[in-house]
Amino acid sequence: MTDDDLDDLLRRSLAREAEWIEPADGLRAIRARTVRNRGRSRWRVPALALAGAVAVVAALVAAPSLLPRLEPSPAGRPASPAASSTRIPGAGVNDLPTVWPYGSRAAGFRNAPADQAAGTYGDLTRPDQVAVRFVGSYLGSRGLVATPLGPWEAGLRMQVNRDGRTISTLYLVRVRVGDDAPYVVVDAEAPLGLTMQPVRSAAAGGVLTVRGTVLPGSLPPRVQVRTAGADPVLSSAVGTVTGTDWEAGLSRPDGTGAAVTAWVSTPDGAVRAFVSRPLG
Amino acid sequence: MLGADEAVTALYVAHYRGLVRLAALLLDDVGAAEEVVQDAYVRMHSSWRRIRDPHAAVGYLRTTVVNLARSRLRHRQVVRRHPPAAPDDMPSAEQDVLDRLEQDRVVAALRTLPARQRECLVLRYYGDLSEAQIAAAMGISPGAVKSHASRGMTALRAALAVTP
Repeated sequence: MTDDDLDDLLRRSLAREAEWIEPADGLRAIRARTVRNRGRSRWRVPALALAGAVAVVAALVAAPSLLPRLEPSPAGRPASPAASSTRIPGAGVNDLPTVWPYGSRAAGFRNAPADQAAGTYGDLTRPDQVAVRFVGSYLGSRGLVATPLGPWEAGLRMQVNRDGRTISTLYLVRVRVGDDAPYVVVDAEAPLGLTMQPVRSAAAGGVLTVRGTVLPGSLPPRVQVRTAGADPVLSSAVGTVTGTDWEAGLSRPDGTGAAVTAWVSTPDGAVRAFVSRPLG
Repeated sequence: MLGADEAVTALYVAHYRGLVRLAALLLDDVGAAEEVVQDAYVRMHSSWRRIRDPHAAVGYLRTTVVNLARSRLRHRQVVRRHPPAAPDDMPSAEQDVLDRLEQDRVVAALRTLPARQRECLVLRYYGDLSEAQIAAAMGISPGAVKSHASRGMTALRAALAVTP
């Protein structure tokens, strides 16, 4: 390795490491401290600068909007040092809904250390294992191989193949900063052949209607609702296909932290496409 | 000239995120990094009248962040009992995976360097600062910057077990 190679490697490594770090809104904390230092409140925020600050904070909150699936918490993260100590990166995405093995990133932050120690979900620090285990919890892990597609705004993307054919692209995020931080699955989309419209909340116990598209001539997709990370199926259905549109009605489970997942297979049972969304 | 409140707000908008990232690379602790950077803004606010050149405010902030991060490291009482383990070998020929593992190794190796060497390398390779700017940020001479950077790269190369 030449000096130039090492320079380049160091530059890329630091840039990548820094990408994980998304500070919370610190302006309020700074303002509170400067006001306190003066003993009287005379903080004057010029309209233009405030607008800029709001824009930046909004940009931080909405950073994952480069991928519109993410719906950050509108409140974002409080700016107090105590809140900062949670060390969850990504202002406003602490409560990001996820599909596996927890219902949100915050739940992953709370529960992953114990589950990691117990091996409940395998090695959550290995994105390839996380991806295979998640998809395998629906389809069985036979023939599944996961490979990284590269970084993504808030984490990384994993391509999942079965028997050499790509069936899904998964989006993973870490539950906190650090190379040893566990991953959680945000959602899964199929590169071809199956879409599922974002799932909207319905009243608990009510009917949840899920819609999407399939390739012409496809078999109807199978759809399931499960609590994130749990195997029992809360509700399942086979979609009704009309042309290239499909629709399925399921029961909306109580509480939060569930995921709706759909997949299509060929007549001989080979899965062709797999999608999953958090049930917001 | 901007007042202190306006200056802090404008500088927050422009530089807060980058400074937190810089501090986190120096400290390996995002919560502490945010506190350090907020400290720097508060200090700048109280010193605003003495900062004659508003354009120098970013340098002032950067220097304060480096100094505060250094102080944090110096006074950190909790010794990390479980240093990050070397990443496992991942049986994949995918270039992305290899790149990621290599970058993890680089960052892990960087964290083992003495603070000054680490600061030099982070400011140079993450901050893209010149030797003069690094010297100003660290409060040392440009010659010392060269020395720390050189030693840091040598140590990093040894830690990565690569040869020129």
